[in-house]
Formats: sequence, C-alpha cells, structure tokens
Amino acid sequence: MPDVVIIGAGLNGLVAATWLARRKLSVLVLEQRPGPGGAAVSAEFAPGFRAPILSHAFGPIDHEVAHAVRLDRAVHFVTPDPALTALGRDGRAIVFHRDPVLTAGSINAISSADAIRWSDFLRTSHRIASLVASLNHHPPPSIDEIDLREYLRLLLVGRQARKLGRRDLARVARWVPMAVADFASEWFESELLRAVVASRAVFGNPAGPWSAGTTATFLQRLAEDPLPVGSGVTARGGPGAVSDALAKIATRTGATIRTNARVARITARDGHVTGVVLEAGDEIPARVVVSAVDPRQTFLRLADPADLPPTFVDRIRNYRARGVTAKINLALDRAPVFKAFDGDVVPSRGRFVVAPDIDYIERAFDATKYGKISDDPWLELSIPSITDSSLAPEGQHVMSIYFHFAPRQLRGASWGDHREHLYQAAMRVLEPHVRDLPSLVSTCQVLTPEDLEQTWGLSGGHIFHGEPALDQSWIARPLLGWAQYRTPIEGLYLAGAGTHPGGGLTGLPGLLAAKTVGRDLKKRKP
Amino acid sequence: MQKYDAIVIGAGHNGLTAAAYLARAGRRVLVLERRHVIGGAAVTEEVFPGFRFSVCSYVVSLLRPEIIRELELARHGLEILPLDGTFTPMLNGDYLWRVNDHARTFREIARHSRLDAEVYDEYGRAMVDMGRFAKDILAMTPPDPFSMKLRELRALGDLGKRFRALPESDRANQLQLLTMSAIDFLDQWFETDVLKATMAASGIIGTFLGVRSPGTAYVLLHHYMGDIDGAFRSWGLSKGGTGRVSESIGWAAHEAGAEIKISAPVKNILVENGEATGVVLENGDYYLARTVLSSVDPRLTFLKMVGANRLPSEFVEDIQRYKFRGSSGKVNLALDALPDFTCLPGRGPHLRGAISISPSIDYMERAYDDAKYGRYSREPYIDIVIPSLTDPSVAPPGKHVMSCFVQYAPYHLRTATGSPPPATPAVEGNGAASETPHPWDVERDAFGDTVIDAIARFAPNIRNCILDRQVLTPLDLEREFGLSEGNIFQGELTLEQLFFLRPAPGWADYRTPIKRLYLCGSATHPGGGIMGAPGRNAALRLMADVRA
Repeated sequence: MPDVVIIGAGLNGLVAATWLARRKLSVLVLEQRPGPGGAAVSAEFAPGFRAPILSHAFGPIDHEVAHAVRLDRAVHFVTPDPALTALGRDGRAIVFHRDPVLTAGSINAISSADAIRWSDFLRTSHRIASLVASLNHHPPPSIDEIDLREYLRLLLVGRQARKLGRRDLARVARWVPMAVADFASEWFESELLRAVVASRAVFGNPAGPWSAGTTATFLQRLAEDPLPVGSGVTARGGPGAVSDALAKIATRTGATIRTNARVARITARDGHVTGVVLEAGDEIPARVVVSAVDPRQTFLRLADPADLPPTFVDRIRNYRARGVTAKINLALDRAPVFKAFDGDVVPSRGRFVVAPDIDYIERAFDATKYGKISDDPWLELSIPSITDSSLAPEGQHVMSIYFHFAPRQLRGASWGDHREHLYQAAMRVLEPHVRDLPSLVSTCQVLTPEDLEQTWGLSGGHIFHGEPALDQSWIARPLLGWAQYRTPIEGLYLAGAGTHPGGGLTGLPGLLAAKTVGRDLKKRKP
Repeated sequence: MQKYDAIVIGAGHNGLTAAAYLARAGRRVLVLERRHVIGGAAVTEEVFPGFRFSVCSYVVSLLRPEIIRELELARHGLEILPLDGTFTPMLNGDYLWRVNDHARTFREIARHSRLDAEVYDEYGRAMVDMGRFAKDILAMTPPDPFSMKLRELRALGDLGKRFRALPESDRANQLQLLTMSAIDFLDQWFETDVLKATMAASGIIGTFLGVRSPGTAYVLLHHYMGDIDGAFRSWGLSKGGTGRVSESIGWAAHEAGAEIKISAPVKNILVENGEATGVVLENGDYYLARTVLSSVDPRLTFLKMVGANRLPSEFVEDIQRYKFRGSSGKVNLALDALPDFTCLPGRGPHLRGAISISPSIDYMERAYDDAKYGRYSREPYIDIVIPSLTDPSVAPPGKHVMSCFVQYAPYHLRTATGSPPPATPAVEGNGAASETPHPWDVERDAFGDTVIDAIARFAPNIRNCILDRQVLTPLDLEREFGLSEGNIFQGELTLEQLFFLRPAPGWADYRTPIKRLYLCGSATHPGGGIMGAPGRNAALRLMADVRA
C-alpha cells in the first residue's frame, strides 16, 4: 500500500510527488492521460510539428520549487528576448526587451511620457512583487488558530510590509481591489501599453480590464515574474520537455507514475481517506490522497458527498471556474512576417499580444457575458520554433495562439459547431499584423474550452482551476477556512492550481501542499 | 468681527448634521450654503407650480437611527412614510412584485420559482446577520493601517477579531459580499432572472459598475440594515419630500444656535501657517473661525477652495486620482394621470412602491456596456417612485409627481467623432463659457426621450400623461448641486475608495493635511446615501481634537 496516492501528473502533482518521495514515502501518481504533464505538454499535432499543446510558457517555475525537485539542472530553460511584442493599430508596436533601456526606447516611439514612467513602473513593480511573493511561498495563515510558526511568519511579512513604507502600502491597498484598466491608466497614457498590462491580468479569466479586482491578479502575476509583461519562460523542447524531465526525476526519486489511470472515486471511512478506485475498477488503498486536480472535480466528482459536510459541498458548488480560453496551434509552411517589422527578421522571439486598447479587450470580454464568442478576440501568440528548430521541419514553423474570450457555456449553441468560427476569428484579427497568414497554414489544431474540460479534466474549462477572484484567493483559495491544502476528509489534500497561490505553472501549490502533507505525516507517525 | 468655533461649508444633510452636533455641544457654528435653499442633494423643490419634487435623492434608506434619536428629528418634522414593495415589469408581459407582506411575496416569487421562494427568507436572514457586522463599521472612524502605529493596527486587529468570531458561513458570505459581483453572489441563491436583476440593481446605484462587476454585491446589504434598526422605519419616503430630512436636521441645528446662511457660496478656505482660519465668499465677504468643516467633495475642497499649492504633493496626487465618474441622471415628471402598466393594468398598490425597470440581467448589463464606451444607455435601468400616491401634499389634487432615477448616464460622453471629450479640468470652470457646448447640453433632451421611451415600453400611456419634465444629467448635478462629475455619492463607492481609503489613504479620519480643516461629506467614510454618518463622525472627531 503506497503511503501517498497523487491524482494528476501535472506540474503540481509531479512536484508534490517528488518532494514526498524524497522524504522516503512511497508515492503513486495516477494520470488519466497517456502521458504526464497536464497542461504543460508538447506533442506532434501534425507530421513533423511539435506544439506546446496548451501552455506555451511557464509562470516561470518558482526558484524554490525548481531547487527542491532539482529541476534546474535537468532542464534547459529559455528566457526569450524580447519577451513580448505588443501589436497595436496602424502597424504600431512596442517591443519589451530584457533590457529596460531598450524597452523604454521602444515605448518612446509611441509616448515619451510613458517611456519615462517605465523605469519607475519597473521599480515599483519589483518592490511590491517582492511582498506578494513572500506570501506566495507559504501556506495562507489560518483564520482560527494561528500557531506560533504562522505567527512568526506573519510578523516577518509585517516587517517586510513595514519596510515598503507608508506610500507603497497605501498603493497596495488601493490597487488590490482596483480594476486593472484604472491601474494601467494611472501609469500610462498610451492605450497599447495599457492594454498589454491589462491583458496579463485578465488572461484565462472571465474578467475584463474594467472588472474590479483584476489589479490583484496582475500583482499576483508580478510576484511570480516581476517583468510587468511576463518573461514567457519556456524550455528547449517545449513545456512538455519540462514535464518529461520532472516525471523522470519523480520516478528516479522513487515515485511511481501510472498513466491511462483515471480515478473514479476517492474512498473514505469515518472521515478518514482510505484510498482511490480507478475507473478500470482497481482499488488502491492509501494513507494519504493528494488531489492535484481542481477542487470541483475533487469534491463534486471524486469524493463521496456523504463524506463531506453539506455546507462544504454547497460552497464548492459555488466555487467559480468559468473557462474563457481557447487554444489554436498552427503548422506553418514558412516563417510568418509581421507587418510592423517588415523586412526585419527580429523580433519574432517571445510572445505577441494583439490587443490594441483597453476597450478592445473589454469588448471582447462583453461577449462572454451573453454566452458568445468574441467577434474580435484578443490574442497572445508565440512561435516557439523560432528559438527551437527541433519543433518543426526546417524552414517551417509552429504558431501557438491563446484566444480570449471563448466562454465554456455558449448560449443556444454547442462548441462542436464553433471550432471553425474560432479559427476564422483568429485569422481575421491577425490579418492586419501578419502577412498572408492563412496561406501559410498547413495544419491547424483548435482546442475549445469544452476540450479543455473533457480532455484535460479542467472543470469549466478554466485553465487556472478556478477564477482568482478576491473571494477565491489566498486565505480563501479554494474556500475561506480551507486554504491550507487540507480538506474536511482527513488524509485528503489538495495540491493543484485551485489552491494558493493559484494557477500559472509555478509549481508552488504542489510544493506547499507536499510540505503540509509531510508535516502532518510526521506528527502522525509516533 | 465675531469669530466662529466652526464654519461648515455646504448645508446638505451631512453638513447640517455636523453643524447640529457641534451647536448642541455649545459651539458657535455658521453654515454656508451656495444655493438659495438648504439640503444639497437631499432637497425638495417646487420645480413646476404645485408640483414638489425630491429633486435628487428620493428615498431615505440608511439615515442613522442614532442621529434621528439624538437630534430629535421627529420633533423637527421628519416623518418617514413606508415605501412598500418593488414592482418589476418584464419584457414577456409578466411582472415580479415583491411586497413587505411575507406570504404574498412568497406566493409571488413561487409563481416564478418555487425554489427561490423557499430560499428567499433564508437569504433575508443571512443578510440581516451580515448587516449586523457591517453596521458597526458605519459608525467608526477608520483606522490608518499605513501608519504602522500600534494603536491603528490594533483597531484593525479588533475588526479582524470580530470577523473571526463570526460563524464560518457568515465569514465566507462577508468576504463574498465585499468582493463579488451582485449577480455572482445572487446566483448562489436564486435562479429567477428578473428577481436577480432587480435585487442586483441596488448594487449599482450611483456607481460606474454593472451588475456583473465585482464589488457590487456589498450594497445588497444596505437593504437589510434598515431592518436591524427596527425601532424606527428607516427605508421609505420622507413626508414632504426628501428635503424634509435636511430641513429637520437644519431645524435641530438652528434650535441649538447654529446660523445658516443661504446664497453664500464659498470661494476659498483661508489658510495661515498650515491652519484653516476661515472662509472667503464669492462676493468677497469673509468669516473667521477656529475650525472649518467642508461637506463638499474633496476635489472642490482641496483643489478649488484650498489650492493645490498649499497641500503636500502626494496628497494632491491622491485627490486628483480620486474617482467620481458620475453615472446617473434623474428625470422628474409632473403627471396628469398615473402610468398604466400593460402587465398589471390599473392604479393598484403596485404603483405605491418602487417601480424598477430592470426586466433582466442582460438588460441591466447591456445598459452598463453602453456607458463603458461613453454613451448613455439606450435602454436604461430606471428606478421609479410616485411619492404623490403616498404623500398627496406634494402635487395638486388628482395630479402626480414621478421621480425616475436613471442609470447609466456617464458624465464623460464620447462625442460623435468617437474620441473622448477633453479631460475636465480639476476645478469646475465657473462661468467660463467654452466655445463648443458640453456634449450633455446637446444630448439632454434626447436622453430625456430615451428614458420616457424605456418607461413607455411597459406603460405606453406615460407619453400622454406628462405635463412637464425636468431632466437632470450628470452635468446638471455638477453645475447645480456642486457634485463633481455628477457623482451622487461625492466619489465612487468602490473598494479602493472605501473605509481607510476614503477619500485618500492616511486621511480617512475626517482630518486633512490642513490643520483645523475637516471633511464631513459623503466623500468620507462611510460614504454616500442619506446616512448622516459622515457628518456625525466628523463632528465627534473635531470635538475630540479641538476642545471648546
């Protein structure tokens, strides 16, 4: 009987597995899909073309996580430079380099005032990100019984907050509940720059730039990666290479990974978890079950409601996970040419955001409120084959596109009929930016939010295992009172992006959950 | 020249409340009002001969019971008449009509959804519990956590402790109420679209937010706080119009010895060595005082009356950032006959309560979408009351006054060319006529027509009953009532502008960077609505600071 069964071999599941296996626990990871990786997978979607099927960039993976599971030596991470290019109207563009001076130069072409503010923005971002980051590296405190350990940690955070000073503290307090549109306008006058900032905050979520609380999401992203537009870290071989390496490490450390093993039920007796039952019928007893799948799946599909307090089940039912993201992967005959950089080969590294202004993103979001796909979606795309030629045949390329917004629940329609619609809308939006794109496409793969739910097991097709709204974050992720990875069933833990600090491929939820499990087991042993 | 203990700028309900408290404590108080009538936005005026309108604010909801008691407002003429029920006509010809009668409301909601009818009471109870927690916060002076001073942090810690003492489900509710959208919150309880749309409407009043915008759930509480106060009905119509509220407070202040001057617009606040010493009027008259309280909004107070150059630059930045963004208008109608709703014809008791034009969630949300992109709603949300049915004294016999609160009417209209209008200067340009008319001056009548059209969709006879109409756009609210950008709450009630952040971090305790200058209007905690709490809290603060 394994000590620990982990459900889901995504990034967080694998991180938890490795950490626990290293502590001499016998760990079994169960994965429903044919391979490990969850949302961080690379696959051949057309002969000779490998794409980052879902995520095309990491959060990045947190330093502490990478170090704890020795990932830093096993994988060659790539930090593209430039990190991102924002494509605006009339061929306007801003290129975000690793070098802030170059970035400021690029912004200067659009607004000199914004170029001047950029360095102040970077400095402020870094200061405030470090405070949020210190919260990210620990389980959220309990509201009921603060033990000495938590108390001391809170004191440390308090000291750090104090060091920030009055002005910055007030800023954080103001910013957290604010709409990112307001936040971006406080800093910048150029719509294109505002839109890029806003896009990072609403990515993956049913929220527009004018939705209150989106600045908090932006600060959370900053904490993971203080470059305001995100670094878009990936790895040689694509995100799948990281998952494969991590699976190898887990196995080498002693964990067992079983793929094609879909869990049907989590079993419990007298309020204590006893194991899991696979869909194939196998019963696997375990002392501890760690679920790295999302909270809704865990409690509404896998756990028996009879083992849970009824109010808890009600509250999980109200846990919001409304997916709004679709994914398009293209195999291209030739390198795409961006009109904004006509004749110039650079910059096609890094990611591109197509969202010319705040209103554009907001209008794209409006559609989801009425159960419709955005007519003019905003897109984030990358061409990973530019930096990694192993992904496509020579001279040919792979383009990975995130499409916002595409609500999981369409009104009066089903997703089956709308695949083509997504593709056409994306092409329409890219038409002014990329020369003759449709003629370059040899194969396309379209993943709807329904696919994300059905194939990847993401409830509601929500890529972050639940919306990072203020009432579903930190001490309230997934629920207020249940944010410390434990659940009402003793021995059952959560470890996925539905726990603090949430989604975005950092590995932190997995690490923090594993530490909690480790501590609890130690207490129980004697 | 005699010197006052305190000068209060603005004779709105908050200014008068502060004045009354100060005068009752024996201080010599002078209240200066720019208009020819006291009341501010809580005012009754005879707009058309024989028709008396609550021009702006039209229902009394959260007037603090301690103020009613301590200032003996009932003795000074305040009488609140019940406003019973909310009637919502629907697009499919049906309606939803909730009243205070429990059994009838149950039957009515059950007509739409049995489940909703059953959960409605449970919801009400949960909200009353929530309201109890929130209510005490209204009366407290917000601490200043940014100072990192032990005393301030402890005050915050005490709040935390009280939060922890709540039962588990209440805590979750409380967090949700503070941060969620009204619709997301209500989705957890109810399934009937029109019920949710109408309940959510209370969450958007006066804000530049939609029913699906996070942060709108909180105001749902307000409707239940009245129930707690129990002893005195605090949700209803003021007899004689909303102006009576201000008048009764005015009488209380007057009786205690406060002087109230109308048509006395303040131009500047006198500041010497960083201390407020008095005020100068537009006509050059000046009055000296040991303290000055301003009940007008911070933009006017600091950027116009004090002057940015006398204030710390960081503070000026905060005040410049403080968001107003008026989003509502008001249409007041003098009627020859009552509107006749197609879905429930006749002059039934359904006309005596609130009539809410909020037929569906999508309708509400689309109204907001228009505003987001700089135009007034083509199909607006309208909250209608016909006070003359409850209080016949406000209209000639057989005739009626009808008050239509309209949302959305964004202050910043985008002009036909699609570009936003030039940013308004920080200070209203008094009388400085610009060459191009303000977009609202062009759109006023069309806006009024849109409102009538939206009502006529449900009550087609309305067009034939109108004797006269007054259309107030956010621009009019700014010009006539001194509400910057036409925001009825003197600044948006969004989380980043509430509690210890209202109006600016570090200055939520009614004090200002100018010594002996205090704020006492809706731009301070706990914000807008006819509560009176800012006025009372500010007066108490001042009296603790400056001994008589």
